[in-house]
Amino acid sequence: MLLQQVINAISLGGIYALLALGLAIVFSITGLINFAHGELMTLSGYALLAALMMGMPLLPAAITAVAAGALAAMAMERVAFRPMRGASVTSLLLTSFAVSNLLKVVFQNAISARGKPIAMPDWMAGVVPIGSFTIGVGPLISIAVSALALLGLELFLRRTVMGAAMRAAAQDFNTLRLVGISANRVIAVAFLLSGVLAGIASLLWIAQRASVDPMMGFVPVLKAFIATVIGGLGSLSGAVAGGMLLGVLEVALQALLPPSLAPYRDALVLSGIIVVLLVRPNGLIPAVDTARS
Amino acid sequence: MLLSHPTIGRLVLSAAVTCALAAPSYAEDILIGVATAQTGGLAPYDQPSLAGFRMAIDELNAKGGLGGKYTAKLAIKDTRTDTAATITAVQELVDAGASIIVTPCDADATIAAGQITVAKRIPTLTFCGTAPVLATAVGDNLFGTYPGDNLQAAVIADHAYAKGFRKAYLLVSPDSSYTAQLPEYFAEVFKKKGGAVVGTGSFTMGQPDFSAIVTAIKALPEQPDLIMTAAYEPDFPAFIQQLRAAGVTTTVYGADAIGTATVQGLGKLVDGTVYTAAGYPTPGGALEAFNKRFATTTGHAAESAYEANGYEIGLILDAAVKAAGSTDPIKLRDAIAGLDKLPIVTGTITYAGTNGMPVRAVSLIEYKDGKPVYIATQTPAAADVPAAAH
Amino acid sequence: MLEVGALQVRYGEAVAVEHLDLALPEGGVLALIGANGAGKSSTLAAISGVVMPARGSVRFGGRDITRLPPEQRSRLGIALVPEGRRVFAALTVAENLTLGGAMHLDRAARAVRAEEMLVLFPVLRQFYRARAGTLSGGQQQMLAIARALMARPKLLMIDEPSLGLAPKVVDDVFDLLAALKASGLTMLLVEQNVALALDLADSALVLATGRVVLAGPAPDVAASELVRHAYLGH
Repeated sequence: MLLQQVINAISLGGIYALLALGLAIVFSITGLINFAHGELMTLSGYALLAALMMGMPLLPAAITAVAAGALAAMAMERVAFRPMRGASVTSLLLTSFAVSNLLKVVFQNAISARGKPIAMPDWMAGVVPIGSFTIGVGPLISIAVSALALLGLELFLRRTVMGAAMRAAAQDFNTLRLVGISANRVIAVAFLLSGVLAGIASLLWIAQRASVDPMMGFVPVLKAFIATVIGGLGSLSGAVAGGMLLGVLEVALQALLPPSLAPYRDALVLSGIIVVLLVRPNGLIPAVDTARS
Repeated sequence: MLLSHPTIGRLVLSAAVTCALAAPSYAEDILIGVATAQTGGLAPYDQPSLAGFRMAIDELNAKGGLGGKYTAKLAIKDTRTDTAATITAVQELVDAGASIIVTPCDADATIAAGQITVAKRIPTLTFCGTAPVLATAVGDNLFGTYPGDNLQAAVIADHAYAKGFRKAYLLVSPDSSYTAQLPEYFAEVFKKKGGAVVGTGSFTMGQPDFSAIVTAIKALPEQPDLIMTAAYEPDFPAFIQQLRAAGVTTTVYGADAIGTATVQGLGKLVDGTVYTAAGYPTPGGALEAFNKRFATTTGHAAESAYEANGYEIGLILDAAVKAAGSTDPIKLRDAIAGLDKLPIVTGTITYAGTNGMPVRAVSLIEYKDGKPVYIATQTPAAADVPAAAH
Repeated sequence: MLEVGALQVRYGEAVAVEHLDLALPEGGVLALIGANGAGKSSTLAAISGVVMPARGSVRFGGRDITRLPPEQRSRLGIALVPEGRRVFAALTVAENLTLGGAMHLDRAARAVRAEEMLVLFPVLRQFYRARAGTLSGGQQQMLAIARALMARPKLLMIDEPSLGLAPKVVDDVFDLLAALKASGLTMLLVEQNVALALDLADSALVLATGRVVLAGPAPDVAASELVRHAYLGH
């Protein structure tokens, strides 16, 4: 039971971490909190649905879904955010709300206001026996995918020139341009990465909820936002830590609270976060000082 | 103050125009305000309901209008599953002179709408809100149309007990009266019959992660024979997906809100899940005939009993206008409250002697191999139906 | 090599540089002198592309680059060591050097160039895998110059290299700049320490409130009444 809950917490925390990273990577470079990140997830979800309906096997369909998220993220940057380059954080935030709402309406009108079922294959609903009890395959896959995605991102950021450029951009975008690295390219890659992360998170989210609907991005983007704030806005390792902490808090309270107190769960989670922020106002792992244009 | 002649002339003229507008004419209209959720979480219920309701109004207008006399005009607003938007929409519709208000398939939104309509006692009918409290929370102008939660729960509990289930786990959410109370009504009836509740779990509507609840169910010292919940989309698919993924095979029972295409589309996941509806299209039955007619008229198949229920609201209003002989909201309210055994698509509906939640039959349906399979239609004995909670 | 004509730089209503002309031949070293706010850094910013001039033109190697974004100017061979050094603190010394040449050299050429930098700045070898933020001020200044040199620039602009450094370290930095000059590198230098700057430079411009008040060969400028009084304390 305890082990199972620990796995649940890591699994949920992993998804939150991916989501928070997607927000943080764009924020660290452009100062934009992209609330349309949730709609990237929704779009990936619909891409997965379309691919499965066309008869694609799960793996290619999943890759299609992630690619759709990545492309949509880059398109979003090109169409909505590039013209706003250099605008204040508030204007950017409002733009992202507008994009988010617009996409929701487009999904409602062009696809359906109602949920579409996506049933996961049977093997994902299997269990692995460990000693006297069993652990679901789903959470294990979720943990494995999150871990691989985090590892992949870490390798990209540490081992490639573009990765180093992204980390440098988070600190000092103007100086990066002075050494010849194109702002458009770095920002496009940041959005691409956030789209990939949204796509992967979307797959894991859908594997849990078994349906796609136009509003499905709202809750995750909210959680991701909370996670990035706990972790330290703009800090990538902070986003991961914040996501994990949020997942652990949610599962722990769900598991430990008696039913009579259950309605207060979200309030307690948020109170816990306020306590974290009181102790560490800049988040668990604050971002380094940034000189942003 | 003395008025000059031209001014008096204008006053007389405008008074005459006003009289002409207010005077009864042979082609009189009745304005029906429809403030329902065509987008958001309630869309799976309000969309089909509205489609059925529109069909009824079109048919009635073709036959001369409601009560054969008043052409019905629909003013339709999307409330986006948002309570504030519902209140705004209803206020606008009331201001526009609506004689009747139709509200979302949700007790909470309907009660919010009732706060506005109660002043003029405008009859306010929910598409398929089922919490019995909605009929008594504000005033006597609010009416349910779908079988109430307590009615549905009594039928489900009866069926579960008859099937040999004795131990139930309840999954509730305090976020709506439907998800909070329907399982409790079930428990009340189930315990009275001799069953027991071995555990209760609570979720937040829209929460993606049910793993902690599923783990708690797996770890129960006494394993339940069934899990009773009134969760719906997107929570129901998420819950059952994660329950099955964790290897728990316990039967899950729900209520009317899981009678949707999305839940049916879950296939194997929902095998053995029993739910309720206002009726079932048995071959040769009236509901099947209605569904055929619906498909021909609208160009798409009815996917649930909500289309029929929406249509039945049209029939209820027609009967009420006929009885009242007027479009006056208060007379209409009294007429609805007096309807007794009105024949509708799925049987009859009675408001006379109730506090606003109708007496009507409930059908039990089970998902098998991705298809709804009919079990039975029952009208529980009044003594078996738990009293409405507040 | 560099020609700036009738340059005007403004930030909203405030004019930072007014009608500035300068010419810098290949291999030459030009010093910009002036008090705080005289418009020195704004001139560098307009040449590097960080700000777009309101009026005037910037030509480099015969080409009009007035409207090019900074990254493209960098690729043409203009490098700026910004005021306050601006090394990428969270990145290692190695990564800072890599980024300096990322757009100019391929992987192999970058490695060769980085090795050259380590020979030129031995202290960087010692901290090669350390985060740049952990280096001392002088070491960060060395890194900032090395990062700029990674691209094998044709024009090196340096903004206040001595700022905040110990006298001994300032000497080291200027020794290095002298060596770069000797190697034939064209340089544009902004420096508070006027004596050091005029010692290094071939020619100099003196700016006051955004305008050129004096221009000429470095020894003449050093000998002028204005500079002797205002900057050299004679």
